[in-house]
Amino acid sequence: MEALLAAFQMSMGLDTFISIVIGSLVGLFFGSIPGLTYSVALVLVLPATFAMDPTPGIALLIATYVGGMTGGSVSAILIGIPGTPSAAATVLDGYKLAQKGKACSTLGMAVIVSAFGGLFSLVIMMVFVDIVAKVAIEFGPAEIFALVLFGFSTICGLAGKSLTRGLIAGIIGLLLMVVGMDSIEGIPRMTFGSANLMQGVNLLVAMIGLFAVPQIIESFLTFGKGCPMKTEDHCLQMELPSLKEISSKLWLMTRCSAIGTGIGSIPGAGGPIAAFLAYAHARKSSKNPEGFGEGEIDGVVAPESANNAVTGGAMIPLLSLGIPGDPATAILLAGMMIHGLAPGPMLFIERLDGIYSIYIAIALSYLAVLFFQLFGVRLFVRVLAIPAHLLSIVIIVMCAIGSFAIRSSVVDLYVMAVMGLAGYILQRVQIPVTPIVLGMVLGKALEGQFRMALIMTSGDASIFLSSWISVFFLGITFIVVLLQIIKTLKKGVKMCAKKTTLAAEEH
Amino acid sequence: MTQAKVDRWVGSLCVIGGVFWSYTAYTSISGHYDPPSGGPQVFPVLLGALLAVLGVLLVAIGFFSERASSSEAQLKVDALTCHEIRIVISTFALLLLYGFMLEKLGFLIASPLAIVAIFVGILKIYSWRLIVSMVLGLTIGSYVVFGLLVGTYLPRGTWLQSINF
Repeated sequence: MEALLAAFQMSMGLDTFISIVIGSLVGLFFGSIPGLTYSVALVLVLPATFAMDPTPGIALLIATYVGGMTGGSVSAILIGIPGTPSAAATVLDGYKLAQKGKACSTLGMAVIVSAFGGLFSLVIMMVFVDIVAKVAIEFGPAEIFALVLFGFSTICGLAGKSLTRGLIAGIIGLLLMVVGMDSIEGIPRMTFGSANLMQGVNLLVAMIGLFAVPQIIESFLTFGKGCPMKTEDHCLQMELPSLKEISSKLWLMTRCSAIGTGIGSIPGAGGPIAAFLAYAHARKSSKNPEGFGEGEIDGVVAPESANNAVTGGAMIPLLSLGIPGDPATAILLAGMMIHGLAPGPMLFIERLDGIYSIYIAIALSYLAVLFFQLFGVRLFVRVLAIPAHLLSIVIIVMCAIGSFAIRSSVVDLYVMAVMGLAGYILQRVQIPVTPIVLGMVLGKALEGQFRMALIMTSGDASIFLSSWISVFFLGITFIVVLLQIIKTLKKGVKMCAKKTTLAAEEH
Repeated sequence: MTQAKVDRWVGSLCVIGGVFWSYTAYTSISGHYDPPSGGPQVFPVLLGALLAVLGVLLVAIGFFSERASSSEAQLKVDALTCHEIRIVISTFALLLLYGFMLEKLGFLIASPLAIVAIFVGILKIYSWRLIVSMVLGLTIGSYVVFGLLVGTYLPRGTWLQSINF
C-alpha cells in the first residue's frame, strides 16, 4: 500500500503529466505516418529522457509507445495505408467503412476499443503477471513455430473467394522475407550478387508499397477518367459510435483483448500476429462472415483491441523477466535501466513503487490517447474531403519520407516503387495483398524458430510434438486447414453437380 | 479476358517463377541440406516448389471452372487502355525518378520537381496557383515538420554535397 501511494505521488506531478501528453501526441503522430512507427519515435524520444527524473522519463517513453500503437489505425482507416504493421488487418474493413462515409464512427470505435484493449491487458498484467510470465517462458522455438504456423493458417480467412490465390500471396510474402542475409548462418540468399539486396526487403517499406502505391495509381486513373474521387461534406457522417453500439461489441472486445494480451506476452510474437489472429477469430465467430473485407465493423474492433492489448502483454515478460519482445520494448528496457529500474524478478521486490508508477503511466497514457483521438476524430476525418488525386501527392511525399527514414537508404524507395507496381498488378489479377503482408510478418519467425528448434535437438523433429503447447497449436492449424479444404471441395462438387443437372435439363 | 483465363496465365507464371526460384536457391545458396537445422537453403527451395505447385493448382482451377461455367470463372477482368497503361507506367517511373533525385539532389529540390512532374506529366493540371501552393506547402511543411521538428534525416543530395563552394 505504501508503494502504491508513493507511486501515485510520483505519477501525479505536473512533469509526469506533461510527459504523458507530449509522449501520446508524438506516438500518435509517428504511428499514423506509414513508415515512421513508434519504434522510430521511441529512438528519438529516448535521449530526451536522460535529463529527466525517472518517473516522467519512463512515462514519456510509455506514452510514446502507447500512442504509436494506437496511431496506426488513423491512416489505416482514413487512407487505407496501415501506419504500423499491427494495423494491416484494420485496413481490410476500416478503409471500406470510411469509403462508405462512416469514417468518423469507425475511427471513433477503433479509438475506444484500442483503449479498452490496452486497459484490459493492463489489468491482466497487474493481476496475473506471475502466472502469465510462467506460461510465456514455456514458449521455446518449437512452440513459437507452432504458434506462427497457426497464425499463417489465418490466411484461410484472409484469402477471400479463392484459397489458392490467398496461399499464393502468402507464399510470395514468405519468399520476399528470404531475400537478404540468413539470420542464423549469415550468408546471403537470393541477392543475385547485389549488395543492396543484402539488407533484405524491409517489411514496412513493402507494406507502404503494397498498400499506398496501388491506391495512388487508382486515384490518378480515376482522375484521368474525369471523375475525381472526393467524399462530399454532406456524406461524411460525423457521429461517434453510440454507447449501445460499443456495449454490443463488449464480448468480442474482451475475447480479442485476451488474444492480444496472450500473444503480446510471448517474446517475438508481436502486434501483427495478434491482430490477424483476432481478425480470423472474429470472422469465424461472426453471424456474417461474408461481410468481412467489405466493411464489417467487427473487422475493425477485433484487430484494434488485440493489437493494443499487446502493449500490456509485452510488458509482462519485460518487467517480470527482463525480456523485451520487440525493438520497441527493447528501447523501453533501455530507458528503464538508464533511470535505475532494472526489469526482472527482483524489481517486484525492491522497487514495487516503480512497478506501480509504470502501471499508472500506462493507464494515464491510454486515457490521454483516447482523449486526443476522440477530440481529433472529426478533424482527422476532414482529410477525406480532400480530392483523392491531391491527397495522393501528399501520400507520395509522406511515403518517400517514411521509406527513407527506416534505414536512411534510397534503395528502400526503389523497393517501395517495385512492390507498389507488383501490388497493383496482383490486385488487378485478383491476388489479395493482405496475405503477402502476413507472409512477410511471419516469414522470419517461421523459418528462424523452426531451424532453432532443430539446432537445439540436433535435428530431432520430435521436439515439435514434445510439448502440449506446440501440439495444441499444430493441431488447431491442421483442423483449420482441413476444414477449409473440405469447404472448398464441397463448393467444387456442388458446382459440378449443378452443371450436370442443368445439362440434363437442357436435354 | 475472363477470370478463368487470368487464373491460367497467373498460374503459369507462378509455376515458372517457383521453378526458377527453387533452382536459383539450390544452386546459389551454400549449405546443401545441412543438418541439424536443414540449412539456409531448405526454406527457399521448399517455398519455390510450393509456389510452383500452387501455380499448377491455379491453372487447373482455371480450366475446370471454365468447363463448369462457374459464375466466378466468367467474370470479366478489364484490360487497361493505352491511356491507363501510360498513367501506371508514369507513376512507377516517377517514384523511381523521385528516389534517384532524392539521393542526388536532396529533399528540398527533388520534392518540388516531383510534384510539378505529377501535376504536369501525369494529371495534366496546369493551374500554376495550385502547383505552386502544393509545392511550397508540401515541401516546406514536410521539411519543417519532419526535418527540423521531428529530426528525421532527409536526404541532402550527393551532387550538392560534392560541390565545394
